[in-house]
Amino acid sequence: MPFDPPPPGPRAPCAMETSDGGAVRRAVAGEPDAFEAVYRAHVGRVFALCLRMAGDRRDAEELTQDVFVRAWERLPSFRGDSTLGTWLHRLAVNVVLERTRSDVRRTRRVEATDDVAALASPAPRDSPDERMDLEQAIASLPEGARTVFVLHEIEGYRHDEIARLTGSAVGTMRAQLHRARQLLMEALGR
Amino acid sequence: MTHFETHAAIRDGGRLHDYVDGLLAGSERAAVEAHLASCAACRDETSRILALRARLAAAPRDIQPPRDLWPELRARLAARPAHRETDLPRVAPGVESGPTAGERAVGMGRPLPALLSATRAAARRATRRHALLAAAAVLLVATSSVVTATLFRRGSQARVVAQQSAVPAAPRGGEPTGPAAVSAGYERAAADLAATLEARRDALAPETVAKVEASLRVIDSAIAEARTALARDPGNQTLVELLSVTYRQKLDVLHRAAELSTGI
Repeated sequence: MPFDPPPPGPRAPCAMETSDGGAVRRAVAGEPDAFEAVYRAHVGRVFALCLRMAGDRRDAEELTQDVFVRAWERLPSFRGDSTLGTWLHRLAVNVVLERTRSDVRRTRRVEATDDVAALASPAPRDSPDERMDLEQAIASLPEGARTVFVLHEIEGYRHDEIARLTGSAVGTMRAQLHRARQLLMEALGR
Repeated sequence: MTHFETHAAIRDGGRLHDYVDGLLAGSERAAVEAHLASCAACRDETSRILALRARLAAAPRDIQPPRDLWPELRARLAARPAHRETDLPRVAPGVESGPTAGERAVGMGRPLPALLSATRAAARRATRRHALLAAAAVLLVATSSVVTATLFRRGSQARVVAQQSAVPAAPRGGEPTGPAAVSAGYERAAADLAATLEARRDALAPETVAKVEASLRVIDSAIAEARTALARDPGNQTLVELLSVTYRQKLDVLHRAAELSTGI
């Protein structure tokens, strides 16, 4: 059955991409109050990414702070070639993957999937129970599968990009993605 | 290759996932679609993957931390050395010429590579939704077949063609249809058919009723997911089309079940 992909259209600016330009300029100049405005505008998006990739609320809080500390340090090198939201998002992914590789916090990982589920804001007309189930199920995925799944299914990264970011082969990455889906379908189908 | 060998190759190779992701083309895609037309298990599996992806499309993009992290973060920043990495920032205080950061945020005055980068994720999502829609459309046809050939074990090919043509057409590109309009029209038609079916429920075998109800639950779940996604992204015409396709699937099942109950 033939389907021609529709031409890509411009995406409506999301919260990651609509920061006040003045605040960004002042934050680049080193004004903490301006950086707070940047933080407030983007923390929800960054925390969502960290929470889903870490699968643990406390780790996500710490990672979110790490992302913004890194952002503060590197903001002067923000060249404006991409939106600040896109820049922050890449930074966040790198921070989380670095943490994953470091293996430091895995030993203190606790079972906190209830926390994860409770934090997700339900979408309009979406059952809170269904939302909780989904976030809980994502949090319960094995780490490697969860990383690949979140990057691909929620964050929109391509297979080859994820393979490059995670240092794994595309075939391995695909297998992780398929495994994550199977596990989620089983978990949600119970 | 036998049916079972093909089935095993498709399952073991993750081809259903690749199909839903829009990664297959040409003969590979045709082979999977041909298999889907004859394999109920793989159709079910593909439906489940599609339902999962529809559910994910409705997942919130933002989640606020449960507590305010700023005071702690500010303390961490204050404790750090004064040094900040420097480059030659284009976004600098007092810059009067060129687009502002806010303008860049919406694409104004940005260089082409930056614009392409910013729209790349959107293009990917659109392509993925399109793959989702394509898979859903194939499943619609496949479900029509299985309802006729496997579930009800009746009906001629001619009737199948006639019934498919009687199902309301999905909106096409260039004819944007709002989610409310799609839902309202299909819900009315579905309610009429469901009432007809309910009135003649006793004419159907219990196992047939169970299968119809199971199918409708799956379809209703997909409809709910699509509507949730649309509530978050009302202008997304691809999601509207996906909703329309799913409603058509529901109408098709109801139509066939109602027809069966009348002994046509």
